[in-house]
Amino acid sequence: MDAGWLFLIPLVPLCGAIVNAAFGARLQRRFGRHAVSVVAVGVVVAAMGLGIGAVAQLAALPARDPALGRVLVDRVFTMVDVGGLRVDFTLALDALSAVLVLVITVVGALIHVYAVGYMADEPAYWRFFACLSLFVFAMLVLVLGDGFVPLLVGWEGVGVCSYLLIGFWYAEPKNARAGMKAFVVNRVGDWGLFAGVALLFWAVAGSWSAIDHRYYFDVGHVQPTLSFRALEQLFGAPEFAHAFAAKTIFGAPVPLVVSLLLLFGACGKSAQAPLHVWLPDAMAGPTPVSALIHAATMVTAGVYLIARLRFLFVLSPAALDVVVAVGLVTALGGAMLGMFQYDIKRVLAYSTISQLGFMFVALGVGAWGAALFHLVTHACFKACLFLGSGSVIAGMHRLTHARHTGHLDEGVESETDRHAMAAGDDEHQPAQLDPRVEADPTDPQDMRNMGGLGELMPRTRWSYLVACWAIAGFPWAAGFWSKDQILAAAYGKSMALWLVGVATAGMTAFYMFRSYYLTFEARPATAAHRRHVRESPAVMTSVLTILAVASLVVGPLGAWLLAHVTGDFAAHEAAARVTAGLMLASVAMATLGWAAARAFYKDEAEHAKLRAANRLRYENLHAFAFDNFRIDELYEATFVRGFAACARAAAWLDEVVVDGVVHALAAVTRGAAWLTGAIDRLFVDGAVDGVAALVLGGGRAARRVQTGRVSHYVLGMTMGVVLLVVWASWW
Amino acid sequence: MTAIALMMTLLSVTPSSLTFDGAGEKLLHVRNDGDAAVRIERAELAPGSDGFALQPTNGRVLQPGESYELRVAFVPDGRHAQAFGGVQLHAADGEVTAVAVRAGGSWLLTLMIFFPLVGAALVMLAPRGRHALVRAIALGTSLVPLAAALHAVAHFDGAGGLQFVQHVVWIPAFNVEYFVGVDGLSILMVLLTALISTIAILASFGIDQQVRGYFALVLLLETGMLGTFVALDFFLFYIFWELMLVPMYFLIGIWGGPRKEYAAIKFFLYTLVGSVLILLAIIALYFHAAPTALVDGTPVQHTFDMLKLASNDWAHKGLTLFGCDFSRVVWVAFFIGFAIKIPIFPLHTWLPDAHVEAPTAVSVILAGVLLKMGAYGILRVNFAMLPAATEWAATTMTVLGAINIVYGGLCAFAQTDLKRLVAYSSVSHMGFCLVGMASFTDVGMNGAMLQMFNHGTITAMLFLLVGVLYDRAHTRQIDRFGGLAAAMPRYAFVLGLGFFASLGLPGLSGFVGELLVFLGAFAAHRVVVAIALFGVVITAAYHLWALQRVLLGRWNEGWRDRAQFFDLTAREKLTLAPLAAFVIVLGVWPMPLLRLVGPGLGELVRHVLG
Repeated sequence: MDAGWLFLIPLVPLCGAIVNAAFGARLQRRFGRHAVSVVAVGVVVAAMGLGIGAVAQLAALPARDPALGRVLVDRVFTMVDVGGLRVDFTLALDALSAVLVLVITVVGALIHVYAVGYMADEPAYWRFFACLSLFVFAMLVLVLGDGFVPLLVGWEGVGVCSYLLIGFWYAEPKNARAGMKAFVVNRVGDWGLFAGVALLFWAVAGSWSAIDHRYYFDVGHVQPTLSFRALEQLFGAPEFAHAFAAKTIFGAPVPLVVSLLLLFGACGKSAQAPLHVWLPDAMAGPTPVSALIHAATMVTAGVYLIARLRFLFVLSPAALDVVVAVGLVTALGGAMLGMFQYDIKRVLAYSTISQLGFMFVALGVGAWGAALFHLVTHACFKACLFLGSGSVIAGMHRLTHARHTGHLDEGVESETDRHAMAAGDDEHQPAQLDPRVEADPTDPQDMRNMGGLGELMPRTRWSYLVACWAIAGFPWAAGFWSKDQILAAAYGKSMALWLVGVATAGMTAFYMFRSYYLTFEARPATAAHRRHVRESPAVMTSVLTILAVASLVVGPLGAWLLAHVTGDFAAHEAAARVTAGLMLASVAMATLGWAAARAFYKDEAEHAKLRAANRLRYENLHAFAFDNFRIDELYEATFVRGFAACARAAAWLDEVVVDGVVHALAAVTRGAAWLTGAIDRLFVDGAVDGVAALVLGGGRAARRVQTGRVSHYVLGMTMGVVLLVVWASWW
Repeated sequence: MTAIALMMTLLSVTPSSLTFDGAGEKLLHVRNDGDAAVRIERAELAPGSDGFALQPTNGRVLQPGESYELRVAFVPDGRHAQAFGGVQLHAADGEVTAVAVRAGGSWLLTLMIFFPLVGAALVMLAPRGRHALVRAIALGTSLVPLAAALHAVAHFDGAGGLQFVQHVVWIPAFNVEYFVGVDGLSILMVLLTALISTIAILASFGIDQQVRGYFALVLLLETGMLGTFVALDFFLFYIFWELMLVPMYFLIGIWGGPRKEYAAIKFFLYTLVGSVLILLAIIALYFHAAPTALVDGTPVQHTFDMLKLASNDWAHKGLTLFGCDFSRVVWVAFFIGFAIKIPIFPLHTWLPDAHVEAPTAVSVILAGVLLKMGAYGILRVNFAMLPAATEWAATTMTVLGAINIVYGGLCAFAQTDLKRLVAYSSVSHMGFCLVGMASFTDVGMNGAMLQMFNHGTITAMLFLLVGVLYDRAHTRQIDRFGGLAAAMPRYAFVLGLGFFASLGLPGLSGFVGELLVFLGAFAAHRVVVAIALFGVVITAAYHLWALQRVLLGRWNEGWRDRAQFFDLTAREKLTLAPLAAFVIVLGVWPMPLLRLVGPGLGELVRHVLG
């Protein structure tokens, strides 16, 4: 159904971004930072209102065509119309995009509100919110766009916003590098996306000739298109789908190749192995950014892409198996790495990678609804966790700031204080600390500098704990509903798959509760903590509370939502039955993970023992996991160095070989010019100068050029042209 | 009168030429002024006189003093709102009397081409030392072609065909005509040239040495560039082509950087080699074209008319040259000539040197317009005149384009001079044009044309921005900078915009062309295009790395005076704003450009593929 106002949903945040980018600095200076806040929060709340209205309108539509489901369409304008290819900038709201629009606008609005508190002391407050609003715009275009071109506009748009926000504090070279790494790694994935789109574009509408290897349109066949809805309609016809599945490229089935290429693109955006390396570094950005972009929304774009193109992926079971494999490796690997991190945000980053892996597994086994459901619940509890960590970091920042500026009031040193203070006192050698062994005391994100913060930040603590329940999948909380659906679907596919999944779920519970205990319990708060660390302002904690409550209620709500509003989307999949046995097993596994974390980390003494034991026995293994399995180093040594070497080689080739040939030619010409000049002087003499000039014109010209008198040559050349023409007209 | 004179046909025709205003019929009075009867074998329209109709008169005998009326009609069919042709009266003794007939025609392009030349003269006449006056004259003069180009774009008939034509005989002795017009191939290039010229002149206001000479040369250059894009007579084309070369040489050689002589001579010699090849190829075509007629109907054996040359079937004339197929040899000569201009690997090494030494505004023109000349020439000459040879060379062109994309990108990555980096990025980006053109699909061809225009605006922006930085720091070494975003936030914003547009960010103008090129070219050359696609990674890498080293990170402590790095001035903003607007608007809505070029390029594709 036509809904010509759909474009307003992304447009409103775009206007907010433009206003804050153009006038934000002035607004902030003249009216205080809340002038900026009003614009930024206002537009995202307005987008939320519009989004909810649109979803309500969508839900009210009668389901006429069960094959295609219900959809609202807004054809905004025609971008390209050449040679049979028509690209419309069309926005379409169907069940899939409805869910994502809700996630983006609702979670986005909450995070905007939180950021008003979190970024309060930031001088470039306006720049932060301009980028954040721009991100909301791009993300909405990504999920609403009907077709690859609007999708790509959103896809790369969120990439740029991510780049800008990771490097928000760009004066620190580490942050700027992290932003660049994120964008370039994503671009590597985009190679697959672009190639996949090009291949799909051609494979849909024709075939390659075996004789001249060129493409020809199948006469009387379909129009080439980049629109998702048009493609879905095409693939909905069984005879077309069969014909498409039978096509090959270089001997491989086209659906497989296209799907794998697109999967590669999705891996980049969703931080799946082997392109996951950018996400942990992306934590350099402000924490609200990590929550919104690198947990709740942007990183799910890959999941969205595959879900959007499920009609294509289902044509190639092999491709779906690869999706499962990628998801499983990532889920397991991410969880393993998450268990060994001490930076609270890196724990959450690896957790995000792992949870996205779960979603990919769900996509691969065809549990589309479950993947989407987990996307929603994950957005709630992971946003809550990130924002909770942000609250902690803000608190810790006051401590490290005080320590930095020498305002630290030591107070009465107690037994437990010694640990926190010991390293802080000898500030002349913090650079030599090995982060794998000892915390840098000035690092507000290192959990070894925390401990006992629960009593100081009660609301943060409780919301964090609730979110931990949710991600661990304890009964009733969000993860319990969505993760168990995925595990049940995996069980339906294969027992081994389920086993790995359940093991990963156990590890999830372990590393999350590990982070909880290390941060909020482990030991009583030190005097320094007590003096400087305070609960965050209400504008932040209220958001935490809302998200914590959401993590509790979104499970049943989401299940209902999926059944009613988005029923169209999940209609095609074979319903996986979540049996009591499966549920029990996963809950037992989560409990095991929690119990282990509690045993090792609830008490600082236990933790110290564990670390001592680790240092003796598993030091290398521990360090290996701490360093992302050294994958960064591997890429650095192979791809990055290789690329730089190629670039140097190309530059050398250019300077020495290509230009060398040019210079050699020039030298030869100069030599010839000298020689002919000498012959001219010695033998020919002045009488026959004219003849010589004609015969030896090339050499002389070059000699003259060398003296810089090109004007002579220009004259000569012009006269030559005239002579030629005269000669020609007589001939 | 002698007996010999008595034997000659003496037909007089009045009026001596016919001019139509729209559809209609007119009469020619044919009279025998001789002393003997003349038998008119036939009266016919000269070749190329599309749109006209003639009352047939065959075998009519005119007694001395007798006259008769010949009816000529002009029937515009939408494709020929303007038409140029001639009526030929063939007498029995073989003598041919010709009368020009024309309808429509426009002075617009002539005004556009030569107004800068007038401006150049005015600039030279200005009193010494009056720099402000010279600048004002130059800027004012460049606004006229810009207005003319905008007028042409606004009134351009999207259905295709040649428009705003002016077509008269110029040098009858050598069959040279003055023939100008725009079609889908050239309309965007004309707009780009006029726009970039104005911006370049505005950006040159900082020049304070030999000001008159500088602006006169820039205006002369503008005449050359505009003329090249609209000339449809090969002789005229070549004159304009060479006319560009000379001012460019002096602009680099006099106002350039430390190694200006080296760069200028390198540029000159390289381009000259190309020019010589092009000239030889033109002469080869001239002598082997089928007999035709000048625009006034006079029959001729040879022609420089590019459209008439294009209507020859060169591949099937059975001609050979140096033992090879004639059309292929000529194709290669043209291609090398134009490839030097684009520039295509391995003929590109003049470009970085020329850019590094050229003053900012000259770099802007060089990258914004001159490089496009090569691609335009390939379309106008190689594609339109030698379609069979073009198809023969398709794979070679695609491979060369892919090499440009990847190799240019890698070289850009390795540069330490920001201007050299941008110069190599041009090498990389122009590769897309070649790949798109060689795809022979509407999508790819339109992508190539969009890429030409968009690269023109983006790279002009980048060179302006590099110029701003050089202006502040007097160095372009990337590692001398760092953390500039804090000192120059507006500059940082615009540089970011330009770099992201250049790396092909969807939503900005660089992307659309690349996407269409990839989609179009993938059909013909899957593997090569998949390799060329690595360009998207390389481009992102070198742009972002440069961005990081210049704008981000800590302030480079090598600079003691932070105030030295002041933000964009009003004039700098004025030069950048129109380009930025193009970059953003065309990124989301390229349709206006595609509407202009689409039909014309579609015709060309079908022409090449037969």
